Amino acid sequence: MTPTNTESGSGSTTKPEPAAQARDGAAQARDGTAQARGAAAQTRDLAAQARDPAAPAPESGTPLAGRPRWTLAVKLALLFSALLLLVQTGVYVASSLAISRIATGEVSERLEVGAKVFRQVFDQDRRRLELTATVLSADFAFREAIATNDVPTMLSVLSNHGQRINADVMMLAGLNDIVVADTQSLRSSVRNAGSRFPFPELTAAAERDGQASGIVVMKDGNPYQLVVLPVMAPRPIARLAVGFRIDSKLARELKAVTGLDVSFAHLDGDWRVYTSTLPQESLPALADILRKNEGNNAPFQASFNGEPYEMRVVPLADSSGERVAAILQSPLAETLAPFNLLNTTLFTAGSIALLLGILGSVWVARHLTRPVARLTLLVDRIGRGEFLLGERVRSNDEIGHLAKRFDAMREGLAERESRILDLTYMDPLTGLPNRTRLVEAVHQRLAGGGTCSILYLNLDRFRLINQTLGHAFGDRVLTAVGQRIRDLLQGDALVARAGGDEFAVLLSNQDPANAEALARALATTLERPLVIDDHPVDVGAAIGVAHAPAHASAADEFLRAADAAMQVAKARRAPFVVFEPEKKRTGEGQLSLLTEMRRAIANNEFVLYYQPKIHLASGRLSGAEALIRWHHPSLGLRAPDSFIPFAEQTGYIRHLTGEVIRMAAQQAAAWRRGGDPIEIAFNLSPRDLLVPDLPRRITEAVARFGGVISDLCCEVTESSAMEDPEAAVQRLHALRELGLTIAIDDFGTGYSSLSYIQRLPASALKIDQSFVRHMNSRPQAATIVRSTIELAHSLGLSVTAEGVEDAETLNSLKAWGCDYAQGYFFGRPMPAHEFDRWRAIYGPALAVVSVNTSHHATVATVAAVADLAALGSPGNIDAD
Amino acid sequence: MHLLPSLTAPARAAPCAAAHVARVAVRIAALGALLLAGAAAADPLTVKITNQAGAPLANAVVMAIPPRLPPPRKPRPVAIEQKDREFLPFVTVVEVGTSVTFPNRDPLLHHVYSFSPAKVFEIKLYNGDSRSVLFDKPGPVALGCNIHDWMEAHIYVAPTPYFARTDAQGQARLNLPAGAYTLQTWHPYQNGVLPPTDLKMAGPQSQSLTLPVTVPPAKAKPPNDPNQY
Repeated sequence: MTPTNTESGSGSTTKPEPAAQARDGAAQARDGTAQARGAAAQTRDLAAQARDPAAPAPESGTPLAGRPRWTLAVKLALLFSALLLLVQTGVYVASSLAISRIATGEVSERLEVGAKVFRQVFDQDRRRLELTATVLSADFAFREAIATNDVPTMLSVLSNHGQRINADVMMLAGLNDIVVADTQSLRSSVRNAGSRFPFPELTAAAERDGQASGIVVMKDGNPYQLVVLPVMAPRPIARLAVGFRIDSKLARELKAVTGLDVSFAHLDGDWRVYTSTLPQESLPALADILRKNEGNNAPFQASFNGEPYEMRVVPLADSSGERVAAILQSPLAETLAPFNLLNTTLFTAGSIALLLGILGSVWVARHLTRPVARLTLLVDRIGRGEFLLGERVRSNDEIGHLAKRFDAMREGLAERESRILDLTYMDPLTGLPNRTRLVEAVHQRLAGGGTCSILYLNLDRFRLINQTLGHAFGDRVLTAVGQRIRDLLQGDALVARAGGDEFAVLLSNQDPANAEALARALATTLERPLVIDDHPVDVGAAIGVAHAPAHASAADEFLRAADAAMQVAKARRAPFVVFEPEKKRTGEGQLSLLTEMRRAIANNEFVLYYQPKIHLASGRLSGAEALIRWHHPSLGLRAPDSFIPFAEQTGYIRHLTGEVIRMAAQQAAAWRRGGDPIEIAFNLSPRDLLVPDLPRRITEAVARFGGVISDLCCEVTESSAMEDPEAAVQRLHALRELGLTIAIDDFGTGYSSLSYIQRLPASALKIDQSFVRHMNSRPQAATIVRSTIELAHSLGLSVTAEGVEDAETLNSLKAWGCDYAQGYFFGRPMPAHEFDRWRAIYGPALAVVSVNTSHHATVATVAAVADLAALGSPGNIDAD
Repeated sequence: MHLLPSLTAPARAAPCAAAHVARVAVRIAALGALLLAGAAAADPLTVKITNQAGAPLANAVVMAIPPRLPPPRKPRPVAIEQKDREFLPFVTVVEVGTSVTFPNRDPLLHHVYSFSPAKVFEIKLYNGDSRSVLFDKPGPVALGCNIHDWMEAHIYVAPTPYFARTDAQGQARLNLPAGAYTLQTWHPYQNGVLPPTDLKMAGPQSQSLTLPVTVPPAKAKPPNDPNQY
């Protein structure tokens, strides 16, 4: 909703505001009031609070249990790891193969190089021999010694030169091939002198080519590398042989140079390895290997001494007929050691890389999926209705974009839920919290242990307003009333529409006196007419006040108490009534009330009070309305409200009505007997009309006291016949036929239509006192009264105005042609004996005064006097 | 000398031949003395020598030994030069009792020697003219230079005044008074000794002989670079 969502964390704290403002804007547009906004906000907060206990705590839930939280991560990690494993394995295998190939090559190469070096060293030795021989053969002194046949000198020269190159043999022979001198004789027992020069092939070759070399086996059985050449002076004068023994020393030297094990073998009937750098005991085995690989000049592998060796046989010479071979060998392990090390290193490095790669991939996977997991968590929380999330999934990738979309969705959801909540907890008409919200608030308030008060308010005559001015107008009245209440009450007060034409104000932390002061102020405020479309509308209200915890500890109880108090206020026509616990008790102990009423009938605790009804044209007393009163032995005079509604509900009203009929019939007969009969009107409740033998009972009562039935008049409210219209109407006709006058009582407070009224066999109509009482102050009430009078007259009904309390009203009524009037202005309801006293004064006074004063003043004066005279009874709770 | 029998084999043969020659020579000399008055002039003998391949053999020595040697006379001195690090000539035939000098014509020193039984000598590092060496015994003498291995020359000390050396065409010409002779040949590379042949000179004569030889591999001679050698 806002672009700052994903930009900074601060957006989250200010988050609810734009949504609230948007809603507020909507609310404002609906209501056009500032209060509505506050109420809505209050509603929301409270609704949130109310929900909270029920909602699971964000972290205490078990959303993670079934969530495939790591699946994606595991997949990614596995994929990466598998790829890595594949690559690493491939690299390792390729490397190993390459290494193996290189190693094998290296082994062959090593042998090859070794063999080359071997040959080179061997050749070098030969060249050394040749060089020495050449140098020696050219030595003048040597030649001189030869020429002079000086054998000692010859030997000496031979030894000397032989030592220079560490030659093992130096031998001189004459041209006749007879050995003249040899150095072997100096160091060993071998004697060659005088024998034939033992290398005829080499001698011949030397004769031919100037010099010759080869391998020969000499008398000591050892093969020698030998160089033979003639001594020239400048023609040949002798033959010289110089040689090295091919022995262990040479093998060691060659090993030092080539790095290979060197063995020498001689074919002497069979191959015999006669010297080696290897241990002596392994030589027979080597001879075996040599036999098997004879003639093979290529490198080969053979197991030797339990170890694999790479070997090569180098034949040294065949020219002289001797077969001597060198065996070069290298332990594979030694050659392969660095490769094995390399292999191991590669494997280790690969494993480490693999491990790191796997760890890395796991990390990457988790890193990648962590926002997803968090997003999932957030979505879960959104699913649980937690919209005011303090955290965001922040990243710049696709997941970040997704998170932003989610966030937008979350805001949309939050907004919509908030709206739904508003609807749940708000009265759409007035924009005020509704009853549900009120109950919750009360509940919460009481649960919190705080003190609070409730003002329960019911509008007067709202039904009439709806009926006459239309429901749309009624709605506007309700809205205006709500507004007016809110205007009056600021701060902590929760103003709710409790339903229909009822409002409630919940005051927190107010002491009872303060609450009652507010109730009074509220009543006063509502007394002022509302002005809607330039129409002043007169709506009064009855207000019930209850305090908690004094009056109730539970929400239901509390509201009931306030409601009950309101009912009392309504009944008393008092601005407000504070709940009294005993009233609650009467409500609670209804069974005992029933018992009490039975007893009261038996004990004649019920009495009738009579209020005078004046014929306005003459000013004379024309009748009286009988009103039931209960002289309770312990409680005193009980208000009709405290038992009539209960009696109506329980059906006991029949007995009460019967009692009333009886007493009225008795009184009517008494007055008739007294010679000055007046009509006594009594009230019938709707339930009475459903009693079939009502006419009979009336007849019986009249007959019992010897009265005249036409002295009685029954008053029914316009709604009396609503319950079962046919039966009621039929019953009324029956009564009418008996000769009773039928009047419609409390006209204006019901919902009856004129056509309905027309169907009733009534001959009179009584305008409700609530209209009459405010006639002077409220023009609309006057209008209603006046038009009702006209209407009734046009229907052929006589009109009685109730609640006349001053002369001005009286004058207006007379001016509008009202037939009768009733009210404190003439006389309050009073017991029969007081009524008689009142009548005793009023009648004569009226006669005297009417001679010389204007009619209006007369009636008023007389009435006032009579009223004063009649005073004596304290009971003045009026209920029409 | 007798300590080296193998080397002296030809030498041993030589006295035998010499005795025989001497006997023949005595007879020839006697005959020649008889004929000397009548035969004031000698007749030419031409000997053509080829090798075993039939090719003319140069540097072969042809000697005619009369039964009786003429009275000794003082032979003319002979010189064998060393020039351009070579002996010149390669083969020289001298009569017994001839003094030979070895003048060094090179700007460097030479060291001439011989270990041959007929004459062992050496002339140590010298330049220019050398002392003379008297060859008083018949037989072949191989000359070498101790400094230059490739230098080789041969002197054949002949027991007769009648001798010649074949030229490039393998021909040798001798002027022999009439009479009987023993004809001998020698070549430094010969494979063995050709048996002497009898010859009766009465007018010009010519002979053809085949002398098998084995020419040894030529010894390497470094280029003559005074700056280097």
